[in-house]
Amino acid sequence: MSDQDATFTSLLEPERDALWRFAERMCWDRNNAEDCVQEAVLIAYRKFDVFTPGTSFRAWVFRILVNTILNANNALRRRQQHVKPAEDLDLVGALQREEAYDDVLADPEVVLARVSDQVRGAVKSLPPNERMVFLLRSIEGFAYKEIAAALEIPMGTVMSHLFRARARLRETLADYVRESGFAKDTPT
Amino acid sequence: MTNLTCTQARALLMAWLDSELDATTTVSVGEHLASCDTCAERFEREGRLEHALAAELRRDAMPDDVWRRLLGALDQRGADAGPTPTARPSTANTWRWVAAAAALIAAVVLALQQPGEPVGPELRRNLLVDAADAWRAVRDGALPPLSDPAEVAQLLGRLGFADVELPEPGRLGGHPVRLLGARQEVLQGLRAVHLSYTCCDVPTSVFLVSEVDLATLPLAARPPAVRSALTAAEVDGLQARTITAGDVWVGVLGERHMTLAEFWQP
Repeated sequence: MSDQDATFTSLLEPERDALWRFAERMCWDRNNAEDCVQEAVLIAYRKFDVFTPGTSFRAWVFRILVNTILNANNALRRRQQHVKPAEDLDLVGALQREEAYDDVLADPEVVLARVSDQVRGAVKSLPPNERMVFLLRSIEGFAYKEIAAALEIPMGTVMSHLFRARARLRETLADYVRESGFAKDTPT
Repeated sequence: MTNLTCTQARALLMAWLDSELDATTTVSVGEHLASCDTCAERFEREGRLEHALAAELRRDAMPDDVWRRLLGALDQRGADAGPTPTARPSTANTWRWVAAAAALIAAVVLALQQPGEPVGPELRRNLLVDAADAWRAVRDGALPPLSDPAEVAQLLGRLGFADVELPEPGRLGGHPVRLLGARQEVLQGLRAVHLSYTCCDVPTSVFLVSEVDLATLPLAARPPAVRSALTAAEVDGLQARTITAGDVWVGVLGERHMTLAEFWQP
């Protein structure tokens, strides 16, 4: 293995879980996710000589993965471009199930631990464009600006997608709590 | 500094959670939170929710076998600059196999019918079961991708159709089949491979769907044809194992060709 190969692998390994969980939540199934990750990593490997040392390898390889996934789904790419901006970004005011959501907020760690599978299902059921922005921001911690650059969309669109995704997830969490009633037993 | 109202502060909650506010606005929000217990509590709890959500969703790790295959592909790439190696059948091949398998199985099932006879609910259900099983077999890696007639014969044997005569182009299972098209369709996040063909002149649409949450689409709201197919599936207790998120739903509607939207929505 050459020094460059060793460097590439050492930079890649810390990102393996992040790349996987992102692709697995964006793709049709695990096979498609694996194909996309493998293709993205091989593209990154091929272009590694243009990667600037000292800059974020994570952001660079994620950008390649995002492009790979978008290329695999042209419909998703088209939908990224045409989004009506959210009228405002009042996450609290947007919620329709305020009372049940208060129960979620009473002890979010406990609630999430108890509805772990449902949360994963709720994330996968988000519209793909909202899901992609939500995963990049809330789970992988990329800045709005980085997401806008990776997806080639305006920052306002990033914020609209993110706002809608969060509002949907909060509504879903509130629904789970209201339907199960378990938050009533949750210590506050 | 600006004195924010509760409404103004709430509108900044999302950017605050994401540390995307500029320094001046961050100070303004901080001042408001220092003077408003209600907002302070709300922001703190929203922050905890975001943190907990991220922690929960970051727990999923890349399986070791996927990582090994990835490293293997990198090694191979380093060794020669040839085509991208894949240790596992690609998704495209898988879909091609599923499409072919579904068409073949449809032909096999329909071969029990007299030419021209309409497809009854029993046959539809059988086709649904067989195609779903075929899909699962492919997905789980129990069957390789379709490549040549000998493999097809072998695979059909494994599926319990050992005596089936291999089809010639345009004639599957001894009956005239005309494949009208196979395309990917997307509907509100629902993605399907749509096979459209006629067998014995019966128009048939098959939808191979993954990542479906049937619970989001109430049965009563379905078109009658879809409802009857679903009901037939439920009779055999198939709904739980066949129509679940991440699994496949194969719908066969013998009346006419449909779009995914028609199939899925009233």
